[in-house]
Amino acid sequence: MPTQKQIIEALLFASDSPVGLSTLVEVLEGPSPQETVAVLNDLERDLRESDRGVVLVEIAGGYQLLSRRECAPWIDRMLRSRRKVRLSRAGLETLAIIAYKQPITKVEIDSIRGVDSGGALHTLLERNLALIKGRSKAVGRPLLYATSPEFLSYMGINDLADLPELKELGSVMEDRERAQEEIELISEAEVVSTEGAT
Amino acid sequence: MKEPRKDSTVAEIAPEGHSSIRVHIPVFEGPLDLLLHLIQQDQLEITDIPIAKITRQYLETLELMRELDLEVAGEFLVMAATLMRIKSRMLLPPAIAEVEEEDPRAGLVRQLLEYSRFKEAAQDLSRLETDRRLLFERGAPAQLEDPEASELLPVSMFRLLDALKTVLSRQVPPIVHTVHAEPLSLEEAIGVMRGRLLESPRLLFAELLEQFPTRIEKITAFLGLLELLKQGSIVAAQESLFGPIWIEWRGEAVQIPDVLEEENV
Repeated sequence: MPTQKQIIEALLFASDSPVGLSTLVEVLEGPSPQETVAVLNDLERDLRESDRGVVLVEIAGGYQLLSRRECAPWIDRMLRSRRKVRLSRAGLETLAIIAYKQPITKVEIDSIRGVDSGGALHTLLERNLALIKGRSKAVGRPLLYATSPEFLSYMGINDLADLPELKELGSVMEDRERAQEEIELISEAEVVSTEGAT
Repeated sequence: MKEPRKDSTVAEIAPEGHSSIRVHIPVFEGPLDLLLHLIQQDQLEITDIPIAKITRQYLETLELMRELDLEVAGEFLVMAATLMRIKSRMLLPPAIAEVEEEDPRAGLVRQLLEYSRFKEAAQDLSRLETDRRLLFERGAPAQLEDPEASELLPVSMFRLLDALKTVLSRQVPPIVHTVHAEPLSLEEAIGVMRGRLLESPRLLFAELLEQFPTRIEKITAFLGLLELLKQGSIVAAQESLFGPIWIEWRGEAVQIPDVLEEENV
């Protein structure tokens, strides 16, 4: 009879995507979620402390065995060109807007970027990094876009809350207030000059 | 070459008499991106843009882009009009002092601030992406190398065109833009792709076109791809309706250059 730890390791090994805790609990048919998490933590420590080539990570709301960071150059060499291409700047910008403002319509994305994002959006949908969440109630019922579970996996994060904080609205507001002040200064100066002229 | 399609595109990128010139030109995602670049270049405050100066530099850049036959998207022209409108409004004295008029630049300032926020966020995502790419999950390529295992769907011409559009919409990364007097010919493009496919018989559409740096070369390569498809040297397939498109090598066709010649007649 294999141990829980062996079974969990085997399950994670057999999957090429993150496995959720609920799936593990369901498959194991015995240990509680808490007990399962304890075994997972144990396994994670085992792998780390015995200097293995794989690590256990919590990612996209699940658990996954991934290769050790330091081994990347060798895997790259083995896979050569078989890797997916990195996202373009347009893709990253569009994805960032979706990630922080979801759900969001294409028109809103276009207006923030000041340029048509159709191509970038298409790529993101094609690569399953973004998905259509529904329709807005606005005129024309435009489609609403959101990030997908694959997005979390692609960025190596567990949850949307793990995204780096968007540049504080506060500091932008500050900038804006400062802008407002300067604008006021300008208009006052202009008022003075026009008054002087009359 | 007699190939009509190609001739017209050649003229676009390298007008007669132009020798190969090297120009340092960053690639701009859009008008806001270009404006931010101009502002940062001169270390100006977003909130206090010298509108006349920026407008001039902006128009100069558009002119350069046009000279290089880079596609100047409509949005760039709309922004040029906006800048000129703001400039002219700044020249007008406020009509009535009582009315609190907003600075003509305020709308643009808000747009630039909002955009720069997400530009930074995009850089954060890029760092996450880079970091995540150092960790490999199990089994991804193995699955791809077994054509029989997955039910591949045929790819329609429209999907191929879509894929081309996607590839073209990805901006070219290079810092140095080279304008060749003699760009890639259709035969050369086919040769390059054949070489690549003989090395690894199954490649992503995007990977295959990745090695052609410019838009025009990508289009030439795409035409070459269609030619190879017609000859049956390659097949295009995908695993799911919106999945990535794979190009697979199926062996040398009988007559390669003849087909091209026929079309020229």
